[in-house]
Amino acid sequence: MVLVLVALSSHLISYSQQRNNDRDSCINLKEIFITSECKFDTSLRNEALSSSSFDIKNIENNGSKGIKDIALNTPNLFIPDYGSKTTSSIYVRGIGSRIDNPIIGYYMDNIPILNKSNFDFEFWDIKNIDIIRGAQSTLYGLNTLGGIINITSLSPMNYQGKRVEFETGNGGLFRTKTSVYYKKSDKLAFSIGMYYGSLSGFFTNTYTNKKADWSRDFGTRIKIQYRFNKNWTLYNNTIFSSLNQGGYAYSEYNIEKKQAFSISYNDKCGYDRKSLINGTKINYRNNKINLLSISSIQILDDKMLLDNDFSQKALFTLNQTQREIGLSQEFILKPISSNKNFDWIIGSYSFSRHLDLQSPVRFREDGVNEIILYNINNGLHHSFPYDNILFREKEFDANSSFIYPRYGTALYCQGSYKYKNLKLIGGLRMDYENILLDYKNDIRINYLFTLTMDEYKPLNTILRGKESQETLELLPKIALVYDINDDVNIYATISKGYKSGGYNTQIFSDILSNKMREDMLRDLGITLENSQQKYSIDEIIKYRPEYIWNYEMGSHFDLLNNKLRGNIALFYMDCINQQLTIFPDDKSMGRMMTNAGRSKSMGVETSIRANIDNLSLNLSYGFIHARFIEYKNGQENYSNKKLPYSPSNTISIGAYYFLILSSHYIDDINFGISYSGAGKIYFDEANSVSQEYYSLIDANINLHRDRFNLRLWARNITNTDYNTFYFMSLGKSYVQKGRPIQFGLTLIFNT
Amino acid sequence: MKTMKKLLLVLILCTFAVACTEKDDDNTSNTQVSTSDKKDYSGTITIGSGENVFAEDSVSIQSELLTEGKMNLKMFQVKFSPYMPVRIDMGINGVNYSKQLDGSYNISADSIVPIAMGGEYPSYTITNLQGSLTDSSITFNMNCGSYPVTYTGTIKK
Repeated sequence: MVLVLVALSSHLISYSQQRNNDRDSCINLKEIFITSECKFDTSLRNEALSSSSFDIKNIENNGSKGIKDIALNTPNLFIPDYGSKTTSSIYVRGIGSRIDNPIIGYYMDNIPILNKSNFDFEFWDIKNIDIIRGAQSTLYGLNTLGGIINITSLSPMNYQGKRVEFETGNGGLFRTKTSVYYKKSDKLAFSIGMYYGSLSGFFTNTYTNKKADWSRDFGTRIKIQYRFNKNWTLYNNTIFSSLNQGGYAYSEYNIEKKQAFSISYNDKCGYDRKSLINGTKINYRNNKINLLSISSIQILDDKMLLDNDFSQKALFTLNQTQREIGLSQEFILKPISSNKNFDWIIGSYSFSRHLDLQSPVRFREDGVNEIILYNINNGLHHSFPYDNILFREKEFDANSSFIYPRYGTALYCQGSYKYKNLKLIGGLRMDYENILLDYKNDIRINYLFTLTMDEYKPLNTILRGKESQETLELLPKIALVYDINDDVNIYATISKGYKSGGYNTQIFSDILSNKMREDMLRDLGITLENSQQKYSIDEIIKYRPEYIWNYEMGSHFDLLNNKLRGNIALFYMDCINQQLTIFPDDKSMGRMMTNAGRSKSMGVETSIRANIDNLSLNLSYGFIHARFIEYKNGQENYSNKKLPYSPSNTISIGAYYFLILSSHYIDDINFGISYSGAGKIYFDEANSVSQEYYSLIDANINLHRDRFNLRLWARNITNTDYNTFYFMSLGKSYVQKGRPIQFGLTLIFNT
Repeated sequence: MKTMKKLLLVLILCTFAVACTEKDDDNTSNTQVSTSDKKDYSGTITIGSGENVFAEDSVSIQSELLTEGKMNLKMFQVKFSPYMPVRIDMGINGVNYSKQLDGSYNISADSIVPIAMGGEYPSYTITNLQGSLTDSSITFNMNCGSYPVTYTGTIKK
């Protein structure tokens, strides 16, 4: 590894030139057509939007294993790596949310991934990734107000052969992948692949003396493509994955000293996920129209265990299981015409998600004594200093069961008319969504008041109810694209985005424990003076949809005979009812989503690539200025505070140098080094806790010989110490650190 | 013989009639109590005497007349000092009552341990309870532990 670093240091600002033109940089390039993207017929560069694209070489050379790696190289896209793979908190242009509905639409081979818990999966045999920033709700509907991520895997119609990969590295990393792509005829092609990965981990839980962030995952993907005739084609894609991991490397944090203590908690944390996604695309095409049907069935079965206090005490744990069946169906109709001056697309989209969520919180012995009984007796001791409430149970469960279905349907259309160099685009979507919540919660205990009672008395606290909300949204878009010449265009866009509302299921343990206390006092005939219910159930569990008006202007340029390419965008986003995750007060156990009133985000983002002989340079930079305009949470006024969790600056600089050796042992070699940085990040609405700007440097060497490719790589080679996440629980502060230095080697065999 | 039979028949009928009458009387008695078995009052509670008086309005009390001259009183969310940080519901069970000619009841009790906070609460043992109860009002005095208590309330509409 030292040799690798020495070699890299001598090529610090070196870049690789693609030997073939298909080796593109990480930014959107003119030659990358979104052929697999159903809703854009031309390159994204010709559209009125800001985007970044990555092809298979970018992904493999950078060693990107998931969307969190890709985000490091994308301006104004921030996906911090913390918790577990169920945690995909995505922030685009300063706007995002930690839990519940995502801000960005996520597509795998044109199949919309319905549940955010499925977003973070292992990348393998990915053909290209397109990331579009800015509200895309006219074409893509709800939860795309920050944009979309579309991932396309290799197609057996276009690629045939075998691919085998082994990877090992520090932290006990081991990965292997194998896949076969076979085209039997012009009519039938299929592929099958699978992977297995394991990681011992980088962070040790000092209480158990075991790694906290270990993982094991397995997956398989089967693709079948069948062309019935010249008109009809069927694509079927089945993806199964099984994940078992620890995660949650959270440690207590001293805000004043900015010092994290060691990870030390007693109860088990982990995340298990089994996911099955089957998508079918049927394409009918004649010389006039192209009709697409894209349908999917998605099954998610996962389980999350949490030591919710992340301390050595036995306070409380969460044992959450989700079982969701999702269905989606989209029809898209587009013309096939030689007259490209006028273009249009119309479509319909429907989905249904049926979520069965069980999330019992177990109050363990310390939690019963130090949280539940302490709070109850603390109030009583003002009057009865020598007597206490006691529970017969040393531990008990706050059972929470939810049936949480949602379904929706939409109709949309978009048209564009091109007159000379000017293209006018307009679109409208009507989106309907209905969300239901049927909750059943209970705590069953036996209690005794030592002042008056000789025997324990049963107390059943039951909380049941049903809620529903429905929304009907109109989501317009209007845009202009002006081609200055063949290589440069400018554009302006106004579009509206929309994110679903929902219900706070994670706050029910707080609500239930408060209700138990109230029920017990009522049963005793005691009313505490100055006692007040801190929140009503109806108010706290519901959060409303979030809306964004996105105003954007930008340019795509391709200069100096394709040697300098890039795009730049200026944007202003007016966010209404922004959804934010908060803790109701610093003593609470749960977290909840709330609507923050109003916020705005403005900024700039650019991606530029330059090719100079064998040297290739990539630069992406994003800057945001995002603040609350109005946000009073009932206790504090956060107006003019910066939006939390998203960095003001995102920077990525990559350099590759490609060298043909043609020796007996090595055909070619390329060196790569990349720098990425993010910050400053505020972690709370009060802007009292933050992570300063931090930098990560990655480097790699790829040695290529015939069908073999050996890649030596290192990530975070300066071992930068930074916090990737911060939160409060029970009045204490916690952080998760970013991963330390990682290094390893990857051997790839392609035929 | 026939006279004897007639006499016996009359006796039987009389016995039956008396029995029926007694039963009717019982029913009448029960009906009198049950028609007014639970009543809710709202009024003023005064604790203490002289300069150390603490009074509160809108204090609720429920009376429940039982059989055999006994009744229960339940006081809701009462406090016996302005500095008391809790309010309690307190039940005084087994209060004596006697019906007066004007239809009202005199109530009295002594040495009753009230039920409060889930069980018996001897610290607030009721002594010297004296008062009256009508269809529209209730008034009583008592000592609740060391607290002299006076309550005057009218029936809730």
